[in-house]
Amino acid sequence: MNLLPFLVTAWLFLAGLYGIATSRNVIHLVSCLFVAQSSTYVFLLSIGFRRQGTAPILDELPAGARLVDPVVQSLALTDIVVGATVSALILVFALQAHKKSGTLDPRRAPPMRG
Amino acid sequence: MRQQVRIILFLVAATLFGAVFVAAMAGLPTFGDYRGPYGDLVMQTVLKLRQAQQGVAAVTFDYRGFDTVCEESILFAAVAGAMLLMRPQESEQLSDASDQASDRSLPAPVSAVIGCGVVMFPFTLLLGIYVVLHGHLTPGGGFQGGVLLASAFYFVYLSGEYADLLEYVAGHLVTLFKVAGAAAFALMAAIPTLKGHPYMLNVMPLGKAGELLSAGFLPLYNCSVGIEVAAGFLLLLSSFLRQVLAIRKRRPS
Repeated sequence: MNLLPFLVTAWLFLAGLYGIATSRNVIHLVSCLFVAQSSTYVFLLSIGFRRQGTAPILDELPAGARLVDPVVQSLALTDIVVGATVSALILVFALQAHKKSGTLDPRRAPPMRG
Repeated sequence: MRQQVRIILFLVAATLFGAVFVAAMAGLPTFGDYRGPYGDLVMQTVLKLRQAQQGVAAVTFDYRGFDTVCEESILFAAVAGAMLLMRPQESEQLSDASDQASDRSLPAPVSAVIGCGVVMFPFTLLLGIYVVLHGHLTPGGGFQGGVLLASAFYFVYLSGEYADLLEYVAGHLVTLFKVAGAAAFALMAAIPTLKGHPYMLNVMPLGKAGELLSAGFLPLYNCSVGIEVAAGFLLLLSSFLRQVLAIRKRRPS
């Protein structure tokens, strides 16, 4: 199953997108956005994976050990932290919109004004 | 009806995207057979050039450190924006948290939960500090350790009253930590430019790999990012709590 990680990526992304497209609640929408975003973690890590590879840390490694790619791991790391804070920001928008319009449904909420 | 149209549109688009995506992925090197040059080049040079043994930290704060400065400023801007939006609005007032259901009595605090929190708080704090300080030696770093540090304070909230937590976050101390962490990161990254080197060049003495003070700037970057992430997540939690518990609509008087 060499394609399996990429199928998981596509599935996670599309499942998250389906949730966003049909969402009737902003909090649900943010969760779906996070699901869609987590597909990028799976994708990045599966690109850099190497069979029988070990963590890219050069401490007491046996000679000729196979290492996985540290570059994509570093990308996934910052992806997660930034994703979490940006979700928090969207939730704040949802909170204030709920105060103004009394609804969490993104389709019923009136357009925002500054 | 419109919901159905929406779903049909989505399914058509998703099928198209999925087909193209999987076809494109089929052209990639097979899973588990990574052969791109960059990861290997990093791991071959990281010990000689930087005296660092943790590849991920070296990539994050050195090889592509400039990216990390940008991402870290996204984090800073997101938290700052969230706090700006959550300040008490003109139509609202800050009040002490009031009992919303005065007819029901509070459940007595369960000693097991409090005990759990009392045990977990110092250990999580210690683990967070360890993960931040050893970020350039073992798995971890500023981002991961920062989240751990913040979650130590979440245990205070879970096991006690939210007022205990707000006490920690009250005043400007945590905000100061957050700003200081972000500023320290950006300013330390600018130090090399004073000597005419490129931004973020690792000009600190590199030390010996495996020691606590090694790999030049990496431990310092880890500390500043750790402080910023921890303070940022703590600020987010406290301002959400304040929204729910302390901010009420101003009554027309």
